[in-house]
Amino acid sequence: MPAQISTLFPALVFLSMTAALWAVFLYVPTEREMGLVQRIFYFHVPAAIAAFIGFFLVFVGSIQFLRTQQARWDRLARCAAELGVLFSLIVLFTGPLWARPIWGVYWRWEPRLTSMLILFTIYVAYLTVRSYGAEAPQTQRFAAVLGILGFVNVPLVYYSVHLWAPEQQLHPRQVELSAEMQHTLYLCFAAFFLLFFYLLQRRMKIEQTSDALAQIRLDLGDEP
Amino acid sequence: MSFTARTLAILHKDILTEWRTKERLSSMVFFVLLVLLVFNFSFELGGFALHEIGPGVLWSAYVFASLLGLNRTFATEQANNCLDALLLAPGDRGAVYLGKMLGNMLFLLVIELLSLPFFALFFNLPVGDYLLPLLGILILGAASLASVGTLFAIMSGNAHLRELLLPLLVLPMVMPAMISCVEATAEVFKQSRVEMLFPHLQILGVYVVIFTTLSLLLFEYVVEE
Amino acid sequence: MENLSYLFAAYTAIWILVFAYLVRLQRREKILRQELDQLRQRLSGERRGLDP
Repeated sequence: MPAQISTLFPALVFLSMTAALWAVFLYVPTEREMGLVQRIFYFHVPAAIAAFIGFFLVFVGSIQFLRTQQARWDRLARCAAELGVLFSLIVLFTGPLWARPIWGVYWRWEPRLTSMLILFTIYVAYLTVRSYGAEAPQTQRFAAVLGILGFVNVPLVYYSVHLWAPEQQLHPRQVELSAEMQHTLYLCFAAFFLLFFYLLQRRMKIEQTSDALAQIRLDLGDEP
Repeated sequence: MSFTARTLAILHKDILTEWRTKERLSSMVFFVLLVLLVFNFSFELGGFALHEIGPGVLWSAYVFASLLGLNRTFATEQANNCLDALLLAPGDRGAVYLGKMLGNMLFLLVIELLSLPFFALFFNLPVGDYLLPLLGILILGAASLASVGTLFAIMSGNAHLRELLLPLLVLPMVMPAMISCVEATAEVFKQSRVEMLFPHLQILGVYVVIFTTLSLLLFEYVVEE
Repeated sequence: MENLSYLFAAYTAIWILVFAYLVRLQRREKILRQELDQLRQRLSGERRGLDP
Protein backbone atom coordinates (compact mmCIF):
# COMPACT_ATOMS: atom_id res chain seq x y z
CA MET A 1 0.00 0.00 0.00
CA PRO A 2 1.50 3.37 -0.96
CA ALA A 3 2.97 5.22 1.98
CA GLN A 4 0.65 8.19 1.67
CA ILE A 5 -2.47 6.08 1.94
CA SER A 6 -1.14 4.02 4.80
CA THR A 7 -0.65 7.11 6.91
CA LEU A 8 -3.78 8.75 5.55
CA PHE A 9 -6.10 6.06 6.84
CA PRO A 10 -5.12 6.18 10.53
CA ALA A 11 -5.09 9.96 10.33
CA LEU A 12 -8.61 9.87 8.96
CA VAL A 13 -9.71 7.53 11.72
CA PHE A 14 -8.16 9.75 14.35
CA LEU A 15 -9.77 12.87 12.92
CA SER A 16 -13.19 11.33 12.60
CA MET A 17 -13.03 10.01 16.14
CA THR A 18 -12.00 13.39 17.46
CA ALA A 19 -14.84 14.99 15.55
CA ALA A 20 -17.23 12.40 16.91
CA LEU A 21 -16.09 12.99 20.46
CA TRP A 22 -16.47 16.72 19.99
CA ALA A 23 -19.99 16.23 18.69
CA VAL A 24 -20.95 13.88 21.51
CA PHE A 25 -19.57 15.96 24.35
CA LEU A 26 -19.68 19.54 23.13
CA TYR A 27 -22.04 19.88 20.19
CA VAL A 28 -25.14 17.88 20.95
CA PRO A 29 -27.39 19.20 23.71
CA THR A 30 -28.17 17.10 26.74
CA GLU A 31 -31.21 14.95 26.36
CA ARG A 32 -34.11 15.87 28.58
CA GLU A 33 -35.21 12.57 30.04
CA MET A 34 -32.02 10.68 30.67
CA GLY A 35 -29.58 13.50 31.10
CA LEU A 36 -25.86 13.23 30.60
CA VAL A 37 -25.70 9.45 30.53
CA GLN A 38 -27.71 9.35 27.32
CA ARG A 39 -24.59 10.40 25.47
CA ILE A 40 -23.39 6.83 25.67
CA PHE A 41 -26.03 6.10 23.03
CA TYR A 42 -23.95 7.74 20.33
CA PHE A 43 -21.20 5.18 20.64
CA HIS A 44 -23.28 2.26 21.86
CA VAL A 45 -25.42 2.02 18.73
CA PRO A 46 -22.66 2.35 16.10
CA ALA A 47 -20.66 -0.25 18.00
CA ALA A 48 -23.59 -2.66 17.68
CA ILE A 49 -23.84 -2.02 13.95
CA ALA A 50 -20.10 -2.48 13.59
CA ALA A 51 -20.32 -5.80 15.41
CA PHE A 52 -22.99 -6.91 12.95
CA ILE A 53 -20.90 -5.90 10.01
CA GLY A 54 -18.17 -8.04 11.50
CA PHE A 55 -20.45 -11.04 11.84
CA PHE A 56 -21.74 -10.57 8.33
CA LEU A 57 -18.20 -10.51 6.98
CA VAL A 58 -17.51 -13.76 8.84
CA PHE A 59 -20.53 -15.21 7.06
CA VAL A 60 -19.39 -14.04 3.64
CA GLY A 61 -15.81 -15.12 4.25
CA SER A 62 -16.91 -18.55 5.43
CA ILE A 63 -19.16 -19.20 2.45
CA GLN A 64 -16.57 -18.01 -0.02
CA PHE A 65 -13.85 -20.03 1.64
CA LEU A 66 -15.86 -23.23 1.37
CA ARG A 67 -16.65 -22.46 -2.24
CA THR A 68 -13.25 -21.33 -3.48
CA GLN A 69 -10.81 -22.76 -0.90
CA GLN A 70 -8.85 -19.53 -1.17
CA ALA A 71 -6.91 -18.54 1.92
CA ARG A 72 -7.86 -14.88 1.78
CA TRP A 73 -11.51 -15.63 2.50
CA ASP A 74 -10.56 -17.62 5.55
CA ARG A 75 -8.37 -14.71 6.67
CA LEU A 76 -11.30 -12.34 6.26
CA ALA A 77 -13.53 -14.57 8.36
CA ARG A 78 -10.96 -14.94 11.10
CA CYS A 79 -10.18 -11.22 11.36
CA ALA A 80 -13.79 -10.09 11.06
CA ALA A 81 -14.75 -12.47 13.87
CA GLU A 82 -12.21 -10.88 16.19
CA LEU A 83 -13.53 -7.45 15.40
CA GLY A 84 -17.11 -8.58 15.81
CA VAL A 85 -16.25 -9.86 19.28
CA LEU A 86 -14.39 -6.65 20.12
CA PHE A 87 -17.29 -4.42 19.14
CA SER A 88 -19.79 -6.70 20.89
CA LEU A 89 -17.74 -6.25 24.02
CA ILE A 90 -18.05 -2.51 23.61
CA VAL A 91 -21.82 -2.89 23.35
CA LEU A 92 -21.97 -5.24 26.35
CA PHE A 93 -19.88 -2.87 28.47
CA THR A 94 -21.55 0.39 27.52
CA GLY A 95 -25.04 -1.06 27.71
CA PRO A 96 -24.99 -1.87 31.43
CA LEU A 97 -23.16 1.36 32.24
CA TRP A 98 -25.95 3.23 30.52
CA ALA A 99 -28.56 1.04 32.13
CA ARG A 100 -27.48 1.43 35.72
CA PRO A 101 -28.38 5.10 36.22
CA ILE A 102 -31.48 4.84 34.00
CA TRP A 103 -33.11 1.51 34.82
CA GLY A 104 -31.55 1.12 38.25
CA VAL A 105 -29.78 -2.14 37.52
CA TYR A 106 -26.71 -3.09 35.53
CA TRP A 107 -28.39 -5.93 33.74
CA ARG A 108 -31.91 -6.72 32.71
CA TRP A 109 -32.82 -9.68 30.59
CA GLU A 110 -34.23 -7.53 27.89
CA PRO A 111 -34.25 -8.51 24.21
CA ARG A 112 -31.47 -6.59 22.53
CA LEU A 113 -28.83 -6.89 25.20
CA THR A 114 -29.60 -10.59 25.66
CA SER A 115 -29.43 -11.22 21.92
CA MET A 116 -26.10 -9.45 21.73
CA LEU A 117 -24.82 -11.59 24.56
CA ILE A 118 -25.88 -14.81 22.79
CA LEU A 119 -24.26 -13.70 19.55
CA PHE A 120 -21.15 -12.83 21.51
CA THR A 121 -20.97 -16.38 22.83
CA ILE A 122 -21.45 -17.82 19.35
CA TYR A 123 -18.50 -15.92 17.98
CA VAL A 124 -16.35 -16.57 21.01
CA ALA A 125 -17.02 -20.24 20.28
CA TYR A 126 -15.88 -19.56 16.72
CA LEU A 127 -12.61 -18.06 17.93
CA THR A 128 -12.17 -20.93 20.37
CA VAL A 129 -12.47 -23.49 17.60
CA ARG A 130 -9.83 -21.62 15.64
CA SER A 131 -7.40 -21.41 18.51
CA TYR A 132 -7.85 -24.98 19.72
CA GLY A 133 -7.60 -26.47 16.28
CA ALA A 134 -4.28 -27.15 14.62
CA GLU A 135 -3.15 -24.96 11.75
CA ALA A 136 -4.90 -27.34 9.43
CA PRO A 137 -7.35 -26.94 6.57
CA GLN A 138 -9.76 -28.98 8.63
CA THR A 139 -9.86 -26.33 11.35
CA GLN A 140 -10.52 -23.71 8.72
CA ARG A 141 -13.40 -25.72 7.32
CA PHE A 142 -14.90 -26.31 10.76
CA ALA A 143 -14.66 -22.61 11.52
CA ALA A 144 -16.28 -21.77 8.19
CA VAL A 145 -19.21 -24.06 8.99
CA LEU A 146 -19.56 -22.34 12.35
CA GLY A 147 -19.37 -18.95 10.71
CA ILE A 148 -22.26 -19.82 8.43
CA LEU A 149 -24.45 -21.41 11.08
CA GLY A 150 -23.77 -18.59 13.51
CA PHE A 151 -24.92 -15.86 11.21
CA VAL A 152 -27.99 -17.76 10.05
CA ASN A 153 -28.88 -17.98 13.71
CA VAL A 154 -28.94 -14.20 14.16
CA PRO A 155 -32.55 -13.56 13.15
CA LEU A 156 -33.66 -16.64 15.09
CA VAL A 157 -31.88 -15.41 18.20
CA TYR A 158 -33.50 -12.01 17.94
CA TYR A 159 -36.95 -13.33 17.26
CA SER A 160 -36.91 -15.91 20.03
CA VAL A 161 -35.53 -13.52 22.64
CA HIS A 162 -38.11 -10.89 21.70
CA LEU A 163 -40.87 -13.43 22.17
CA TRP A 164 -39.36 -14.42 25.48
CA ALA A 165 -39.26 -11.00 27.07
CA PRO A 166 -41.63 -8.64 25.30
CA GLU A 167 -42.69 -6.90 28.48
CA GLN A 168 -39.08 -6.11 29.26
CA GLN A 169 -38.75 -3.85 26.26
CA LEU A 170 -36.56 -1.37 28.06
CA HIS A 171 -34.75 -0.24 24.95
CA PRO A 172 -36.73 2.70 23.62
CA ARG A 173 -38.62 1.55 20.56
CA GLN A 174 -39.20 4.73 18.65
CA VAL A 175 -36.55 7.24 19.29
CA GLU A 176 -37.23 10.83 18.40
CA LEU A 177 -34.00 12.47 17.50
CA SER A 178 -33.49 16.18 17.07
CA ALA A 179 -31.41 17.43 14.17
CA GLU A 180 -28.26 17.82 16.28
CA MET A 181 -28.70 14.33 17.66
CA GLN A 182 -29.04 12.91 14.17
CA HIS A 183 -25.92 14.73 13.00
CA THR A 184 -23.99 13.43 15.97
CA LEU A 185 -25.21 9.90 15.44
CA TYR A 186 -24.26 9.89 11.75
CA LEU A 187 -20.87 11.32 12.58
CA CYS A 188 -20.35 8.55 15.11
CA PHE A 189 -21.44 5.93 12.59
CA ALA A 190 -18.86 7.26 10.16
CA ALA A 191 -16.16 7.33 12.81
CA PHE A 192 -16.91 3.76 13.91
CA PHE A 193 -17.02 2.39 10.39
CA LEU A 194 -13.67 3.98 9.65
CA LEU A 195 -12.28 2.53 12.85
CA PHE A 196 -13.70 -0.89 12.03
CA PHE A 197 -12.21 -1.03 8.55
CA TYR A 198 -8.91 0.39 9.72
CA LEU A 199 -8.61 -2.31 12.37
CA LEU A 200 -9.75 -4.93 9.87
CA GLN A 201 -7.19 -3.86 7.32
CA ARG A 202 -4.40 -3.85 9.86
CA ARG A 203 -5.42 -7.22 11.24
CA MET A 204 -5.68 -8.71 7.76
CA LYS A 205 -2.20 -7.44 6.93
CA ILE A 206 -0.85 -9.26 9.96
CA GLU A 207 -2.47 -12.52 8.87
CA GLN A 208 -1.29 -12.10 5.29
CA THR A 209 2.28 -11.47 6.40
CA SER A 210 2.16 -14.30 8.88
CA ASP A 211 0.89 -16.75 6.28
CA ALA A 212 3.47 -15.59 3.75
CA LEU A 213 6.28 -15.99 6.27
CA ALA A 214 5.06 -19.44 7.16
CA GLN A 215 5.12 -20.34 3.48
CA ILE A 216 8.66 -19.01 3.11
CA ARG A 217 9.80 -21.04 6.09
CA LEU A 218 8.22 -24.08 4.52
CA ASP A 219 10.02 -23.41 1.25
CA LEU A 220 13.31 -23.05 3.07
CA GLY A 221 12.77 -26.47 4.56
CA ASP A 222 12.03 -25.43 8.12
CA GLU A 223 9.73 -27.31 10.40
CA PRO A 224 6.30 -25.66 10.25
CA MET B 1 -28.40 -47.86 -2.34
CA SER B 2 -30.61 -44.82 -2.36
CA PHE B 3 -30.15 -41.91 -0.01
CA THR B 4 -33.19 -42.82 2.02
CA ALA B 5 -32.18 -46.44 2.21
CA ARG B 6 -28.74 -45.57 3.51
CA THR B 7 -30.11 -43.11 6.03
CA LEU B 8 -32.52 -45.70 7.36
CA ALA B 9 -29.81 -48.33 7.43
CA ILE B 10 -27.63 -46.20 9.68
CA LEU B 11 -30.63 -45.31 11.83
CA HIS B 12 -31.58 -48.94 12.12
CA LYS B 13 -28.05 -49.91 13.12
CA ASP B 14 -27.88 -47.28 15.83
CA ILE B 15 -31.28 -48.18 17.24
CA LEU B 16 -30.33 -51.85 17.35
CA THR B 17 -26.99 -51.13 18.99
CA GLU B 18 -28.56 -48.97 21.63
CA TRP B 19 -31.44 -51.33 22.20
CA ARG B 20 -29.14 -54.24 22.89
CA THR B 21 -27.07 -52.54 25.54
CA LYS B 22 -29.32 -49.70 26.72
CA GLU B 23 -26.22 -48.32 28.39
CA ARG B 24 -26.53 -44.77 27.15
CA LEU B 25 -30.25 -44.75 27.73
CA SER B 26 -30.25 -45.67 31.38
CA SER B 27 -27.30 -43.46 32.28
CA MET B 28 -28.82 -40.45 30.59
CA VAL B 29 -32.22 -40.86 32.18
CA PHE B 30 -30.49 -41.15 35.50
CA PHE B 31 -28.49 -38.05 34.70
CA VAL B 32 -31.67 -36.08 34.00
CA LEU B 33 -33.01 -37.25 37.33
CA LEU B 34 -29.86 -36.05 39.08
CA VAL B 35 -29.98 -32.67 37.41
CA LEU B 36 -33.61 -32.27 38.45
CA LEU B 37 -32.54 -33.09 41.99
CA VAL B 38 -29.80 -30.50 41.95
CA PHE B 39 -32.20 -27.86 40.72
CA ASN B 40 -34.68 -28.78 43.39
CA PHE B 41 -32.11 -28.16 46.08
CA SER B 42 -31.16 -24.87 44.46
CA PHE B 43 -34.62 -23.44 44.84
CA GLU B 44 -36.71 -23.18 47.96
CA LEU B 45 -39.49 -25.51 47.12
CA GLY B 46 -42.20 -23.64 48.97
CA GLY B 47 -41.21 -20.22 47.72
CA PHE B 48 -41.37 -20.24 43.95
CA ALA B 49 -44.37 -21.03 41.85
CA LEU B 50 -43.08 -24.32 40.58
CA HIS B 51 -44.89 -24.08 37.31
CA GLU B 52 -42.96 -20.89 36.62
CA ILE B 53 -39.50 -22.35 36.92
CA GLY B 54 -40.50 -25.89 35.99
CA PRO B 55 -40.14 -25.57 32.23
CA GLY B 56 -36.74 -23.93 32.54
CA VAL B 57 -35.48 -26.60 34.87
CA LEU B 58 -36.83 -29.37 32.67
CA TRP B 59 -35.19 -28.12 29.51
CA SER B 60 -31.92 -27.33 31.26
CA ALA B 61 -31.83 -30.92 32.41
CA TYR B 62 -32.58 -32.14 28.88
CA VAL B 63 -29.90 -29.94 27.35
CA PHE B 64 -27.20 -31.08 29.76
CA ALA B 65 -28.12 -34.71 29.29
CA SER B 66 -28.14 -34.33 25.52
CA LEU B 67 -24.61 -32.91 25.60
CA LEU B 68 -23.46 -36.09 27.26
CA GLY B 69 -25.29 -38.23 24.77
CA LEU B 70 -24.17 -36.30 21.72
CA ASN B 71 -20.56 -36.75 22.65
CA ARG B 72 -21.04 -40.43 22.01
CA THR B 73 -22.65 -40.03 18.61
CA PHE B 74 -19.71 -41.22 16.64
CA ALA B 75 -17.98 -43.10 19.41
CA THR B 76 -18.82 -46.53 18.04
CA GLU B 77 -17.67 -45.48 14.58
CA GLN B 78 -14.38 -44.10 15.74
CA ALA B 79 -13.22 -47.44 17.00
CA ASN B 80 -11.82 -49.48 14.12
CA ASN B 81 -12.11 -46.55 11.73
CA CYS B 82 -15.65 -47.46 10.87
CA LEU B 83 -16.38 -43.83 10.15
CA ASP B 84 -13.97 -43.81 7.23
CA ALA B 85 -15.58 -46.94 5.90
CA LEU B 86 -19.02 -45.38 6.15
CA LEU B 87 -17.83 -42.29 4.38
CA LEU B 88 -16.19 -44.24 1.62
CA ALA B 89 -19.49 -45.85 0.70
CA PRO B 90 -20.62 -44.55 -2.68
CA GLY B 91 -23.23 -41.85 -2.90
CA ASP B 92 -24.18 -38.81 -0.95
CA ARG B 93 -22.45 -38.83 2.41
CA GLY B 94 -25.18 -36.68 3.85
CA ALA B 95 -27.01 -39.92 4.53
CA VAL B 96 -24.51 -40.58 7.33
CA TYR B 97 -25.38 -37.26 8.92
CA LEU B 98 -29.11 -37.69 8.53
CA GLY B 99 -29.08 -41.23 9.82
CA LYS B 100 -27.09 -40.20 12.86
CA MET B 101 -29.21 -37.12 13.39
CA LEU B 102 -32.46 -39.07 13.33
CA GLY B 103 -30.92 -41.58 15.68
CA ASN B 104 -29.94 -38.86 18.11
CA MET B 105 -33.33 -37.25 17.84
CA LEU B 106 -35.17 -40.47 18.56
CA PHE B 107 -32.80 -41.20 21.39
CA LEU B 108 -33.28 -37.77 22.96
CA LEU B 109 -37.03 -38.09 22.59
CA VAL B 110 -37.01 -41.37 24.47
CA ILE B 111 -34.90 -39.84 27.23
CA GLU B 112 -37.27 -36.89 27.45
CA LEU B 113 -40.31 -39.13 27.73
CA LEU B 114 -38.75 -41.45 30.28
CA SER B 115 -37.69 -38.53 32.50
CA LEU B 116 -41.05 -36.84 32.38
CA PRO B 117 -42.55 -38.87 35.26
CA PHE B 118 -39.71 -37.81 37.55
CA PHE B 119 -40.30 -34.22 36.61
CA ALA B 120 -44.02 -34.57 37.29
CA LEU B 121 -43.22 -36.11 40.63
CA PHE B 122 -40.75 -33.48 41.85
CA PHE B 123 -42.65 -30.50 40.58
CA ASN B 124 -46.14 -31.70 41.32
CA LEU B 125 -47.21 -30.94 37.83
CA PRO B 126 -49.92 -33.10 36.30
CA VAL B 127 -47.90 -33.67 33.20
CA GLY B 128 -50.22 -36.41 32.02
CA ASP B 129 -52.95 -33.89 31.26
CA TYR B 130 -50.76 -32.07 28.80
CA LEU B 131 -49.11 -34.99 27.14
CA LEU B 132 -50.25 -34.28 23.62
CA PRO B 133 -49.09 -30.68 23.23
CA LEU B 134 -46.00 -31.51 25.24
CA LEU B 135 -45.17 -34.29 22.82
CA GLY B 136 -44.99 -31.84 19.97
CA ILE B 137 -42.61 -29.61 21.89
CA LEU B 138 -40.50 -32.56 22.96
CA ILE B 139 -40.16 -33.78 19.39
CA LEU B 140 -39.18 -30.38 18.06
CA GLY B 141 -36.80 -29.83 20.95
CA ALA B 142 -35.11 -33.16 20.39
CA ALA B 143 -34.86 -32.44 16.67
CA SER B 144 -33.27 -29.03 17.22
CA LEU B 145 -30.70 -30.42 19.65
CA ALA B 146 -29.93 -33.31 17.34
CA SER B 147 -29.60 -31.15 14.23
CA VAL B 148 -26.63 -29.06 15.32
CA GLY B 149 -25.46 -31.46 18.00
CA THR B 150 -24.74 -34.25 15.52
CA LEU B 151 -22.77 -31.95 13.26
CA PHE B 152 -20.77 -30.49 16.11
CA ALA B 153 -20.21 -33.93 17.58
CA ILE B 154 -18.29 -34.97 14.54
CA MET B 155 -16.48 -31.64 14.45
CA SER B 156 -15.26 -31.96 18.00
CA GLY B 157 -14.81 -35.70 17.63
CA ASN B 158 -11.05 -35.90 17.53
CA ALA B 159 -10.36 -32.58 19.13
CA HIS B 160 -8.05 -32.30 22.07
CA LEU B 161 -10.66 -30.95 24.44
CA ARG B 162 -13.59 -32.76 22.90
CA GLU B 163 -15.80 -32.89 26.00
CA LEU B 164 -15.40 -29.18 26.57
CA LEU B 165 -15.64 -28.14 22.96
CA LEU B 166 -18.98 -29.74 22.21
CA PRO B 167 -20.96 -27.83 24.88
CA LEU B 168 -19.12 -24.65 23.94
CA LEU B 169 -20.31 -25.04 20.37
CA VAL B 170 -23.78 -26.41 20.94
CA LEU B 171 -25.09 -24.23 23.76
CA PRO B 172 -24.85 -20.83 22.07
CA MET B 173 -26.10 -22.15 18.76
CA VAL B 174 -29.11 -23.91 20.26
CA MET B 175 -30.35 -21.05 22.44
CA PRO B 176 -33.18 -19.79 20.23
CA ALA B 177 -34.60 -23.30 20.12
CA MET B 178 -34.24 -23.81 23.86
CA ILE B 179 -35.81 -20.46 24.68
CA SER B 180 -38.76 -21.39 22.50
CA CYS B 181 -39.05 -24.83 24.09
CA VAL B 182 -39.11 -23.36 27.56
CA GLU B 183 -41.66 -20.72 26.61
CA ALA B 184 -43.89 -23.20 24.84
CA THR B 185 -43.74 -25.62 27.75
CA ALA B 186 -44.60 -22.77 30.12
CA GLU B 187 -47.62 -21.90 28.04
CA VAL B 188 -48.75 -25.52 28.14
CA PHE B 189 -48.53 -25.65 31.93
CA LYS B 190 -50.35 -22.35 32.21
CA GLN B 191 -53.11 -23.94 30.15
CA SER B 192 -53.05 -21.05 27.73
CA ARG B 193 -54.98 -21.05 24.49
CA VAL B 194 -53.37 -23.01 21.71
CA GLU B 195 -52.62 -19.87 19.68
CA MET B 196 -50.16 -18.80 22.37
CA LEU B 197 -48.03 -21.78 21.48
CA PHE B 198 -47.83 -20.99 17.79
CA PRO B 199 -45.07 -18.35 17.70
CA HIS B 200 -42.77 -20.60 19.71
CA LEU B 201 -43.54 -23.68 17.67
CA GLN B 202 -42.98 -21.61 14.57
CA ILE B 203 -39.48 -20.69 15.67
CA LEU B 204 -38.77 -24.28 16.59
CA GLY B 205 -40.02 -25.51 13.24
CA VAL B 206 -37.98 -22.96 11.33
CA TYR B 207 -34.93 -23.75 13.44
CA VAL B 208 -35.16 -27.48 12.83
CA VAL B 209 -35.69 -27.09 9.09
CA ILE B 210 -32.94 -24.52 8.58
CA PHE B 211 -30.32 -26.15 10.74
CA THR B 212 -30.94 -29.70 9.59
CA THR B 213 -30.76 -28.61 5.97
CA LEU B 214 -27.64 -26.53 6.52
CA SER B 215 -25.96 -29.29 8.50
CA LEU B 216 -26.79 -31.75 5.75
CA LEU B 217 -25.25 -29.47 3.13
CA LEU B 218 -22.20 -28.59 5.20
CA PHE B 219 -21.54 -32.14 6.36
CA GLU B 220 -19.49 -32.80 3.25
CA TYR B 221 -17.06 -30.06 4.21
CA VAL B 222 -16.77 -31.30 7.75
CA VAL B 223 -15.75 -34.83 6.85
CA GLU B 224 -13.56 -33.93 3.91
CA GLU B 225 -10.04 -35.19 4.27
CA MET C 1 -23.29 14.67 39.18
CA GLU C 2 -23.37 10.91 39.54
CA ASN C 3 -24.42 10.26 35.97
CA LEU C 4 -21.21 11.82 34.82
CA SER C 5 -19.19 9.03 36.36
CA TYR C 6 -21.16 6.41 34.38
CA LEU C 7 -20.64 8.39 31.21
CA PHE C 8 -16.96 8.60 31.97
CA ALA C 9 -16.79 4.90 32.77
CA ALA C 10 -18.47 3.97 29.49
CA TYR C 11 -16.16 6.02 27.32
CA THR C 12 -13.14 4.87 29.29
CA ALA C 13 -14.25 1.27 28.72
CA ILE C 14 -14.46 1.85 24.97
CA TRP C 15 -11.07 3.47 24.97
CA ILE C 16 -9.47 0.67 27.00
CA LEU C 17 -10.94 -2.06 24.78
CA VAL C 18 -9.87 -0.42 21.53
CA PHE C 19 -6.47 0.52 22.90
CA ALA C 20 -5.83 -2.98 24.24
CA TYR C 21 -6.66 -4.40 20.82
CA LEU C 22 -4.34 -1.94 19.11
CA VAL C 23 -1.53 -2.86 21.49
CA ARG C 24 -2.15 -6.52 20.67
CA LEU C 25 -1.93 -5.75 16.96
CA GLN C 26 1.28 -3.84 17.46
CA ARG C 27 2.88 -6.67 19.39
CA ARG C 28 2.08 -9.15 16.63
CA GLU C 29 3.38 -6.77 14.00
CA LYS C 30 6.62 -6.47 15.97
CA ILE C 31 7.00 -10.25 16.17
CA LEU C 32 6.42 -10.54 12.44
CA ARG C 33 9.00 -7.85 11.71
CA GLN C 34 11.54 -9.72 13.82
CA GLU C 35 10.77 -12.92 11.96
CA LEU C 36 11.19 -11.10 8.68
CA ASP C 37 14.57 -9.75 9.77
CA GLN C 38 15.66 -13.19 10.88
CA LEU C 39 14.78 -14.66 7.53
CA ARG C 40 16.54 -11.85 5.70
CA GLN C 41 19.70 -12.50 7.70
CA ARG C 42 19.52 -16.18 6.98
CA LEU C 43 19.09 -15.62 3.29
CA SER C 44 21.99 -13.15 3.06
CA GLY C 45 24.08 -15.49 5.18
CA GLU C 46 23.37 -18.35 2.81
CA ARG C 47 24.10 -16.20 -0.18
CA ARG C 48 27.48 -15.29 1.28
CA GLY C 49 28.03 -18.93 1.98
CA LEU C 50 27.43 -19.80 -1.68
CA ASP C 51 30.01 -17.31 -3.02
CA PRO C 52 33.18 -18.15 -1.21
